[in-house]
Amino acid sequence: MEGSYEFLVDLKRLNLAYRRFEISLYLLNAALIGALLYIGSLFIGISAFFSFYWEESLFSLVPAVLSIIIGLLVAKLLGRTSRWDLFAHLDEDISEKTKAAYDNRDSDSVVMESLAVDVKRSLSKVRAADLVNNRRIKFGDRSVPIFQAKAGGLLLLLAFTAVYSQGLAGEEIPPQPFRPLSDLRDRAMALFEEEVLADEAAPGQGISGEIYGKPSLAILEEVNLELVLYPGSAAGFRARETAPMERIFLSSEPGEGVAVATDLYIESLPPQHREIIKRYFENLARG
Amino acid sequence: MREDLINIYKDAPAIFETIRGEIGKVVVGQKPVVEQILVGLLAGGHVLLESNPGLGKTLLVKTIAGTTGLKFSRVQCTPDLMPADITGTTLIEEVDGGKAFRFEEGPIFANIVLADEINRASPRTQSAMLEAMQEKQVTVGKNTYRLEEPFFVLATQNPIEMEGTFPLPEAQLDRFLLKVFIDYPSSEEEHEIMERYTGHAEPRVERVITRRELLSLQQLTRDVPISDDLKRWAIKVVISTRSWEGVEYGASPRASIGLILASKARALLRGRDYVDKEDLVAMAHPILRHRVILTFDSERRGVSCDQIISDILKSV
Repeated sequence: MEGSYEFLVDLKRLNLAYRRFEISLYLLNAALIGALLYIGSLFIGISAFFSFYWEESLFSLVPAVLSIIIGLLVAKLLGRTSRWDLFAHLDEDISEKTKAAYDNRDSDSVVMESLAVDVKRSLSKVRAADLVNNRRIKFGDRSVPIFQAKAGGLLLLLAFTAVYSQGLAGEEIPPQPFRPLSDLRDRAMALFEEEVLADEAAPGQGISGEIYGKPSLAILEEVNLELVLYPGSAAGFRARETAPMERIFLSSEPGEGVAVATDLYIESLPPQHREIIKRYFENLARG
Repeated sequence: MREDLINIYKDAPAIFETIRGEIGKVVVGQKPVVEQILVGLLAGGHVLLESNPGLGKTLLVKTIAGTTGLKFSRVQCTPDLMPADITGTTLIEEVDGGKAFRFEEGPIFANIVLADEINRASPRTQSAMLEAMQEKQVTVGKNTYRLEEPFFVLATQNPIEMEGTFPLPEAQLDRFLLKVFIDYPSSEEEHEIMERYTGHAEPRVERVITRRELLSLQQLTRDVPISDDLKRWAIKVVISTRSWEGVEYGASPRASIGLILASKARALLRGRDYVDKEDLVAMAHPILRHRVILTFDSERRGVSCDQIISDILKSV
């Protein structure tokens, strides 16, 4: 700001305060958008996916970093639509005269001198907080400063994120994350496997590739364990002692088939084949 | 010089208040009209007053002239008025036994000129006067004579009795800064007029402002700061008149200059040291109404220039 009028000092002070406020608002917007995106990535399981496969590497931070970058970009785009205008946030009775004085700051006239003194007097009463208070949003009869509302929203979102991601790692929560994507992948894989596995006979045939989130049976030092591997989030696994093998399969003489439908077995089948196989074994059991 | 300006600027509100008070002794009501004429005086522009007969146009102008210590002259325009009757003429006179030409100044050589019923003068005479208004000089023969500052023409015309008149062409109307309408007084005002003018003593005004003070105030008017945003808004308003539906020809850039100057003068009159949007809005009608030419269809539908200007102000 050139010119030698004293009101320019006050204007500079307010301009700095306003700039700081705008930057804080921009960062707050970016944080809000970033937090929303990150929560979205938690819901659809992207975060779990990254942290499971790249647990020990920086890649596991990709969803969080991307959320922050996109948040900053979107906040920047949103900020462009509103004009950077300090004068608009001054009170109506001093806004126009401050604008007139600022636009004529290089003029040296008696009227301008008088205006400069007048503006100086008015601006010296304006506090930086008044600029913030002028940016208000209306909710019915009540006025809530937009800044406080957004900050509150961000805190809530962060709290929710913390609770939600904690829940994902908890032992008692079933492994839901990534489910929508993994179901889609199951179907795609099943279609693919039907073609490929029909031609190839190889060890491990029939394994869908889905080893996460479904109970498997593990034997550790002759103890039968029901083992569940959680997908992602470095959630690890859940292992608990389970009933003996007889609970699942009955012994029989060679050549004599005894079929027993078990939930454990049925659950591990591809969804589109479950009913067919279940019905087959039920019919077989009825003889 | 600067000290003088500072002193006059400090005294300006009191000077304006005194002028208003003096005018108020003679003219009842009509405050907006008085303000607009004072705006014209401060902005250094000419004013065209229009009203039905008997509403005190001439009295108003004479009263305003009376409050200033300026040279005042009056021209009653008629169809047989010749240009030389206004500008002046060269006479041959005897000097020291020989003969010499001498220029006899016409009534245009005054500070405040009242051109009464200007639309009754012939186009030739109107042209002579309007040229003087624009150039602030008069050329007679090979000689050019500068008119003394301030030079302020107040012309009157009435919208009825069009027989025997020569309506001013649009190009010449553009020379007037403001076109001001005078409306009928209210019943209280009319009662007051009756009281004042049916007694023995007729009200008189005193001179309350000198030529030097008026020139200083004109200089201060031009110094009143206005924001760039408001300048842009004023230009937008003027440009809108050129493409507005129902308008044949819009206002010229002279209107933009006039709108800013008149708004500055109004701000100064109101004791404000900057131009506010309300000044521009208030001055838009008198500045633009004689510069906007309506289409035949608009005139047929009875649309007025003021209506169109109001619509433009609402939309810009």
